[in-house]
Amino acid sequence: MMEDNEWEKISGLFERALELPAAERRAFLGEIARSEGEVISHEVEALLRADQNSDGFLNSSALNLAAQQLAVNCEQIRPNAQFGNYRILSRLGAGGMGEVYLALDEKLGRRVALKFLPQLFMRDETQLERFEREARAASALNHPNILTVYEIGNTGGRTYIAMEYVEGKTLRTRISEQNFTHEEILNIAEQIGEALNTAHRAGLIHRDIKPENIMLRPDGYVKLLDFGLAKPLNESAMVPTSNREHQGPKSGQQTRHGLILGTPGYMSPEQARGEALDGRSDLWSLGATIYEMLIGNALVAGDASGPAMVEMKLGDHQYLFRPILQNTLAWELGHRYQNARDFLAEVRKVKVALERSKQKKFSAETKNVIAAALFLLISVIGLMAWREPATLKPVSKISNQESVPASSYYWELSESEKSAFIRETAHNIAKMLGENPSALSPEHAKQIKKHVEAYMGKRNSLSTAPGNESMKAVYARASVYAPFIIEAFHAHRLPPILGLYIAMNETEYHPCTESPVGAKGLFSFMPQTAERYGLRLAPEDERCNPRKIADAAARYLEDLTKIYGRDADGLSLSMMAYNCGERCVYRALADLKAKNIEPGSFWVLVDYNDRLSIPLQQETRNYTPRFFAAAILGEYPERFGLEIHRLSTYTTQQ
Amino acid sequence: MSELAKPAPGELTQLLIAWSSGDAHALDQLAPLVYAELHRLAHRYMNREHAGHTLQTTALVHEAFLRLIGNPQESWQNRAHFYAIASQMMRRILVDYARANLRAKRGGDMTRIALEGFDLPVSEPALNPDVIALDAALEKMAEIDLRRSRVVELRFFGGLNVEETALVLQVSPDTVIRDWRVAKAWLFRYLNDGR
Repeated sequence: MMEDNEWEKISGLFERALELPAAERRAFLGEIARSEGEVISHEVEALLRADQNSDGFLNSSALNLAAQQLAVNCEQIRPNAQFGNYRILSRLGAGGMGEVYLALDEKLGRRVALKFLPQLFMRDETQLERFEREARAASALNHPNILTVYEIGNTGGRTYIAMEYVEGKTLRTRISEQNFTHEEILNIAEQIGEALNTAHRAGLIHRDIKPENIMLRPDGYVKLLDFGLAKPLNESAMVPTSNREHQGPKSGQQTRHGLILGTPGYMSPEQARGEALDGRSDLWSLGATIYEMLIGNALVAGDASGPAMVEMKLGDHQYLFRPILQNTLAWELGHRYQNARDFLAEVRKVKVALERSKQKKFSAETKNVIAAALFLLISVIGLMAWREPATLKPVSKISNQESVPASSYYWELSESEKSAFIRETAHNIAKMLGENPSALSPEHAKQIKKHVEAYMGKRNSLSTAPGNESMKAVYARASVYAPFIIEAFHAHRLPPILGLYIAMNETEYHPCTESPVGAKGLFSFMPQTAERYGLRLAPEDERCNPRKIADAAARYLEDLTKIYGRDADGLSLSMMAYNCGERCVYRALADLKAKNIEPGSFWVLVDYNDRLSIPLQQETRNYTPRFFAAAILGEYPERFGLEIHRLSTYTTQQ
Repeated sequence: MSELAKPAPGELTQLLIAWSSGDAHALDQLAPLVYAELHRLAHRYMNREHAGHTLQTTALVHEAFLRLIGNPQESWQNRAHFYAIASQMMRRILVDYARANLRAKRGGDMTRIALEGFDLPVSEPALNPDVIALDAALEKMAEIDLRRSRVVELRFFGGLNVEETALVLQVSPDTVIRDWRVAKAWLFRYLNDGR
């Protein structure tokens, strides 16, 4: 083993040799031999040789190499391969927990689907057991809407399940084709509801209801696949409303180490938390599936659920689905349907209502329409009530907008007009934050402009993926929780628009106000930050409680202003510290001070960006400028063609 | 107050944080996520229309890493730290995976059904390192040159590019490029000459 300093010497010489033209390297090695000795020169030479031969070495990642190897291994199942009575015909695809092939049962002359457990898992007893459990669980169920399992086999060291072959397409494929009729959605919901009713009563929960696991046959039959994650409901069958104590302990989980199985986005909150499950978890997942058929986009993993969310996303013509979604996607178990039968009853009721509304569709005076109108009216009043924090005083002046040339849309401006617009509006935002903000330079405006345009690009986005949602969706979330935010920030003498735009900035990436996956809440608190501000994480994650998280965020910012000050400049520094941590900003300022640069404003960090560490350089260009960008769009929506109320109007009394 | 005021999005982050703070079970939850990507990639390779297209392969792998290690758009807090932990995680899981595969091969109980018609973009054996041996070599390397061994961990296991690696190690991209070359030469020699 060579010594550390010896290696340092060798690697240094090797690097120098690399810089030389190949022809001069030999002479250089001779020089090394003379000055450092043969051993060192030999080492450098060996490295040079390795360097020449290693073209292509490590030029792929470990993941890629493993995948290629796996591809080779998987190829072992080929057409005409024989497994017991079954002859492989073709590959159908990969489902949860394994590869699926179409095969011919040569004894019975029928086509079957063979599902193979991936070889990787076959060595894992837990996985093998789970795979076999799937077979047993599903074969115990005899229902037209549940895929029939014929047998479990093992040939040539490979375990497989032989099951009914369904011709048709998955619901996933169907969703990508779009244009569902409401009848079709209800029909699918009903059949899966029936499958679940039978399974739940037999003591089985599916645990992974999602469009990929639902097959649609051309004759209209719907089949639920993949009881791969099912586990017997031994400890608690369908639990009555009153009994919610089972939330805490994880007893009875068959998953190892509290391993969470399921698919984010369709997982119920309790499943994501790794808690004991009952059939109501499947109903959540089914609700998420119905939501996706109806809206066209999947529920974002960690998205807000419950009334506010459903309200926001549901179009007027989709009101019939409102009870179904609200009673499946309810955060609280007690607020959901208590069993699949209740769900089915509702689905059938809606089917009847839909039928009736079609029959009477030309009669404007039908009860349904009145009911719908009444419902809408009530919703609107309800929303208005949300938006009127009647006891709050105005705490920040709305800036004078006359100063901004108010004629054209942002994108109609010339580049220099755009920059001027950004500077002026950003300065107005800064004034809304506090007294005497520092002047903004063109460079500062440039940083903000970049984010304004990024936001603008997503103005009409249809995506629900974090960071890509439409502005309206992000904005709507911040405004729904506005009353809590305003109250909390007001109580801590902070400008409420600070809270509103931070919430907007944060929910862009953490749209979860009630996240099933690692709840973070509107203000994206880490568990330790949450605990420091007295928020409990269990049994209910208080980061998801809008009142509590808003208060904690305000207190956190208040603490930061004790370091950085409460004026406009101090607040922009605090904001940055909110994102990257108290010390990261403090240290950066101290570094600048050591170089005789007077800190004070956040924008100083932008000005002297090249003197900061690389991560901090990134940071100064992102979080706080993005805040200003969010605020500019939020305060000047008309310039961006956004039909929304300015967020700051929420902070003033009517 | 915590340096990391909040996590980057995604459940992976949560698990990585748990793992890096000593929760060994978190790795059991992470492994299926990595395996899922592994399988996805493998399936894409089996799909013949993609075979051999290097460019496409690069894109596929990049896509896989993106899904695993996340969106570079996130704000930095965690980003450097997150990349570092994610790369360690990938290393652990992929080396474990290779070990499991090795055991299976030694078991020798599998029926091989050879069939023609599948051209897979498999690298040449000499340049296709045995991950287990590489892991051991890297451990050796860390004893004499921690930084360069980390460059390999981040790039080869973590799939990071030069800029991302530079961000994690807080060095310039040029340094990463030089370190990578030195490390590769050292490893290649170690693995082929056994020293």
